[in-house]
Amino acid sequence: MLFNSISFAFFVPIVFILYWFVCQKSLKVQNGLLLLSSYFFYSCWDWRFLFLLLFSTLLDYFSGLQLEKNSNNRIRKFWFYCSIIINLSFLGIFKYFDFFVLSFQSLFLKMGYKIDVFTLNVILPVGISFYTFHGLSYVIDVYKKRIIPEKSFVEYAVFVSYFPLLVAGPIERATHLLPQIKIKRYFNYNQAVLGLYQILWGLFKKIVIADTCAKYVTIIFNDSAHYSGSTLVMGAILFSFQIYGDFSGYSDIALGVSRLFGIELLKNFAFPYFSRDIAEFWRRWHISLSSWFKDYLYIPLGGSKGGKWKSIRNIFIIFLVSGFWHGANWTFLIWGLLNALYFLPLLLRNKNRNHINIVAYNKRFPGFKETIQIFVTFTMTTFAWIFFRADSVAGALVFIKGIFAKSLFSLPEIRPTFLLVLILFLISVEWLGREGHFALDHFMNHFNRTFRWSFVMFVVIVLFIFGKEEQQFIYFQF
Amino acid sequence: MMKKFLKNILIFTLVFFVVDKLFYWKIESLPKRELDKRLEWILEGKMNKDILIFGSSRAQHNLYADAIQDSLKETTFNLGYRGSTINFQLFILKKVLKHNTKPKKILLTTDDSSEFLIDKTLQFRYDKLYSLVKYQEITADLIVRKELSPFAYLLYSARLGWKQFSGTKPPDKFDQWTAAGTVLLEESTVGFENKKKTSRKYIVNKEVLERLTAFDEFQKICQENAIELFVLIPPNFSNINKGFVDRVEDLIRDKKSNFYYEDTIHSMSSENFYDESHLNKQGAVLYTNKIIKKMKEAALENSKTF
Repeated sequence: MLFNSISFAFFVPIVFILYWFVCQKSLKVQNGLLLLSSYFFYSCWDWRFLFLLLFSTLLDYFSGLQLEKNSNNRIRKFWFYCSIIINLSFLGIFKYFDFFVLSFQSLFLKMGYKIDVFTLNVILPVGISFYTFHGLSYVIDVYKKRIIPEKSFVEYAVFVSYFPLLVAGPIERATHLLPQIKIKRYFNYNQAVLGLYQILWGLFKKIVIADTCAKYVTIIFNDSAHYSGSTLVMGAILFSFQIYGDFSGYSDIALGVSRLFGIELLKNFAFPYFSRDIAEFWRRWHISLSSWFKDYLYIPLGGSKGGKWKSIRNIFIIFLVSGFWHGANWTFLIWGLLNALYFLPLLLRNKNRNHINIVAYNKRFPGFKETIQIFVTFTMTTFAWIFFRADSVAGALVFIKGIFAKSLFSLPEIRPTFLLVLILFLISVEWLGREGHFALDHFMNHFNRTFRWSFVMFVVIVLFIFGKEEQQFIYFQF
Repeated sequence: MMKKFLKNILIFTLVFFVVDKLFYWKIESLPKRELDKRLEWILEGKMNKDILIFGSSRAQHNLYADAIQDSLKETTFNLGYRGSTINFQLFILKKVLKHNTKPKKILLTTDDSSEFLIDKTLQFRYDKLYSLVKYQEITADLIVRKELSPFAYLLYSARLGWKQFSGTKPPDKFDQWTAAGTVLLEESTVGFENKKKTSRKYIVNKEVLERLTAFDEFQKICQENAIELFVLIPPNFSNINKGFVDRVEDLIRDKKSNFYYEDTIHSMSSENFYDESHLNKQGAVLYTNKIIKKMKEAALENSKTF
């Protein structure tokens, strides 16, 4: 059941009505409803993987309880490593087993040995990377005694499998989400309206921007050897907007839906394409994953303490792991490596925390310097996305080689004017709303009801005009 | 709070419903943008002919409907759609029978050798339907085929696509229909005549079940409606595909049906072709005359039987 599907458009109102009109008197019943709805939502993909989700939930739940019950360090360590190893094993088997096996086979072949290998050829359970990370952060926090374990299984299970975030995040923390699950929620008009605006904007980004870009991106990337340099640049730029529209659109829908149920999720995107350097970009792109890696990998590795070289090593580790988290392919590793390389000059010059504030805060337009900085950061990011999108490293290199040809200065063969106008509309709205929690949050408060309704009506109509078919979200594969 | 929330949603929905109705004018104007009026004529019951020609571009360009009409003294119209699959041709046949008097004869051309295979050149021509969404039945067909969302049952805006807001396509050489719906192609394209005549192997395993079923249903409908069906494999300059010919013959339900395969090697030279798989005007006249002869022979045979 996709967020941009008809079935989801019926599913949410049904759960909403049951949640606020039938189950509102008891918190336990409300949570029970959320859990059942989440399991139903997940089983719509493949009910067999529901057992995997349930097993992972039970494992982390009981590990948490055992970690609290036992004061003996050895037993605590046993439960901690038991949970971590089993969780990572599932992730490894489903996501990385075939990649490693085939990489070894290819390595041996290069050395002149042909070996037969066994591959699983199984589909990746949707959301496994996300719910595994939920569970891992919970167990680590309990082990480090940052939080006390959750006693109620239903409440813990809602934390892991809450349907708005189950399949593609944001990656929540027990410290943020569990307290909200444990307290009685009351319907808040403003929160619900903001939720609807956020869903609408998420759908616009997904259906209108990402899915339309995808059509052109597929054509250009699938036949990159035959297009001019300028067309390939067009393809790379469109992919930048495709992935942004797709993933931030998904996050907006997830956050918006959750607001309808009175639960605030972690912000996942903060207008990343307005970043002035790559460090700022990574503070604004997939925030929940970046902060997860920072808290559970970068800091335990020593973070920035322990000298420059250690910091550089740690930065490379988290970017490479982040690349690998996205998928078992060398292209993702190179994408991670490129971002680490982009980050390096900022780290060496201690300028990685230069841009903490919002760009052009309280101003209408950015200054000349800021404009150049935004342009350079966007160009670097777009270049790295080529590896992210390409099917193979060789494919990415062919694409890049094609860009740097004489034809770079010719008119692109593919010129989707209509789409470029819509992208400009997206950028304008996001720019106006960049000081808010999401684009329409701040932006809509500045206008009267007539404008707000006209704007919403325009977006809804555009959605109907573009929403011909349901397209899968890119991040579902991760 | 909740009351206000629900009230506002309800009011917004109602206002939206009214605003959506403004798209009525856009939807009504869409058929005017379509140069090819044949499908609209079918839906409006203006396709009452004795003989209809179905198929892809091989029907559209190779069969000169006006000549058949003049020669057989039976009203004829060409309903060949470039790049269309048998599924689309079946769809058109059903619409003809639903809104018009049934024809006496149908000529159906098949595409050597992509008729039943996965081939990007043949499509279900949705583009021909988008301009006709003012007809509720076309909208319903598009919804069933998942080309439009179910919201299109209720909302006009959901019937539209962004391409329908772009400029009208200027007419080209493929939009020059004769009075009976054929598009004759002048002269020949360059280079195909040097192409080596090859014999291709036809792989039955690669056939698409949906297309086989459509071909069978097409014949079944003709049988049930007592429409005389002529299945044709038009000339192809570079392909000699005996395997495909045998396969089509196998798939014909009623073995007494008229099946005609044009053996290009012995009958047509490159001057008769527009490109390797389509005839030019001269070739179309030549080929149509052969078909007319076959139809006359069949008519004679039928009269003897009775």
